[in-house]
Amino acid sequence: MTGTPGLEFKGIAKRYGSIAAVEGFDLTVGRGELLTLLGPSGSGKTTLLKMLAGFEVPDEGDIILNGRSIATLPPAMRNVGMVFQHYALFPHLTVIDNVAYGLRYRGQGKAERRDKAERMLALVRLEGYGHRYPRQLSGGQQQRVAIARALAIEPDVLLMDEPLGALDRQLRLEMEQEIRRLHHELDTTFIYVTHDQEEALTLSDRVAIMRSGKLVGLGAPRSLYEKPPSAFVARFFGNSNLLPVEIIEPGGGKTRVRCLGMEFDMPCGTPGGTPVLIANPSAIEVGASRQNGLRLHALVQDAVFLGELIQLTCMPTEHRSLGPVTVRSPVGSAGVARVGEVVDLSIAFDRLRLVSDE
Amino acid sequence: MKRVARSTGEHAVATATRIVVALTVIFMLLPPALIVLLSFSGEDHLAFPPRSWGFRQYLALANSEYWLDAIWTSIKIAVPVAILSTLIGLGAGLAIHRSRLHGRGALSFAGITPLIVPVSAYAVAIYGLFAKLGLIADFTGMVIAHTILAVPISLILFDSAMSALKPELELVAMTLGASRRQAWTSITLRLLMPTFGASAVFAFLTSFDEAVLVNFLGGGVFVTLPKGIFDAVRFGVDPLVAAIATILIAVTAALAAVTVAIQRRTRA
Repeated sequence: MTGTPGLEFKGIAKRYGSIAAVEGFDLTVGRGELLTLLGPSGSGKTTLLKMLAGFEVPDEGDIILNGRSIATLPPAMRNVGMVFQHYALFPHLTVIDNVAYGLRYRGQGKAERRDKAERMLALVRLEGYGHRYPRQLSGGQQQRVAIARALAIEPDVLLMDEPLGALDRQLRLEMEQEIRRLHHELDTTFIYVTHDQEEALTLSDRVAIMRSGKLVGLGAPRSLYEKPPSAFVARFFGNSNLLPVEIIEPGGGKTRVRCLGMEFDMPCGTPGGTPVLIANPSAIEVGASRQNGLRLHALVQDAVFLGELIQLTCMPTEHRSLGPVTVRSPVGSAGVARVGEVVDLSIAFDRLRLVSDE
Repeated sequence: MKRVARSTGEHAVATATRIVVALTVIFMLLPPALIVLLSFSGEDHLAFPPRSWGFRQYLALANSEYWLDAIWTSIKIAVPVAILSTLIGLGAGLAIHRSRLHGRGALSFAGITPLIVPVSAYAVAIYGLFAKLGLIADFTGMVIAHTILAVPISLILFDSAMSALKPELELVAMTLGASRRQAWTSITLRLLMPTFGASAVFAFLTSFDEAVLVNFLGGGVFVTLPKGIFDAVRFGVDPLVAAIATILIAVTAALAAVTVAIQRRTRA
């Protein structure tokens, strides 16, 4: 990530009839940054991408790309590359002609275009595939061609709309690496749209989380994952335990709360709306009985092996209304328990997060 | 390899299936096969089997001004029908897929109604209208009437071709620097080329083969090939008809085969 702003959204709004697809959207993306727009379907991320590519014009606000307002320019004038989920390769053109397509509108000679297209194919590791037709390539190869075609015009920003959504898991993981490599090799800004949180966490410099047309979370993958700013973000990453909490004494820098029958101070301001405590599964300890933390007896119902981690699903023996609690411990640590065992769970107060459940 | 023993029941079903398939093929192919066979008859009257063989019918055809005129009349009507029908099919396809026109769903249905309404019923309706407009026994009238029959085929071809075209193709072309018109001509129009060909061929054949409307609306002036055949068998069976029918079959099959081959080759 670099400090220079490459791309700015300023107060963007887009409505379809009475439905606001995007509203009051502000975001600054650094030049050369890889930013993911993450959100469930209908959250407005694709609408944003369309406005960036020039297929839609925002009702309000402006989009600034490298110091130039592009919100009302036609797509051809923006110098923005686009990669679609279903590749959108031109079926009547060979691979090399697909890649060279954009260069003919940039006043380049035939030899020059071929040369550039060959270099782009080499960049995505498809040397020697130039004479084939798109239908003769696998899905992963077709997506590489689409990426090469978009990069051939040397765009100021590369937009990718769920580019790996049509690929199987193995290929998706490979292509994630490939996209990261390309991003390292080039200094192009990448805007990547996905609804897959794992993909967003693996790929991005920063993740922008969208909900109902609004930006509800923005940050580096790790900080968003470990310290979700809201219950929505925590739920979206699907990894956090949400504990109901009662505010005893609200405050600006310190809030006294009661949870699971214990009263303690959280070192943060009182959130608006319904408060909730987030307990990260990997912050929960098994077996230890911590004094300055929440404690819970629970029956291990399920244990799933996740490679480096074991994920336990534990049913509390008291406070049953909580529902199952998810715990993740490193394989081989003391925190590994068997199904059917009753264990002590605890989490330090300072590992909990108090947020609003909007 | 292990062979699975089949029960007698399965065996009976398989045999029955084979018989039905064989009968269907014979039923479908026997009449045209007989016509082709008869066209090589060396006799001056129709009899089966012919006592002698030869190209007598084809030679007679080549020397008959009546039949050559009929072929020429058919072509003169079928060519403008092919062009008009293709243009209307393209326009209707665009309206259905690219516009926000109100009731464009109804258009795709309305466009194919000539396929559902019996041709003779159409002929009666058109006759009443054309009589008022002075289009009976008129070249323009014949072209219009045949175009109505051909448009559904063109529309179906363009409709299905356009629904297979992904709108993203044009969008991505525009991000690569193409204007809206450049994207349309270099991508969409180019991908529709085989459809233009197929539409023109099938519209041409629809008109070329048409025997009902020409009887109603031709006023006896237009003797197209099918009309000529119709008249010929009405006044007695001339074996020359078999030669004409054979040519008709050959031309139709060849054009259809070429169209299918082109479409298969250019399919994405």
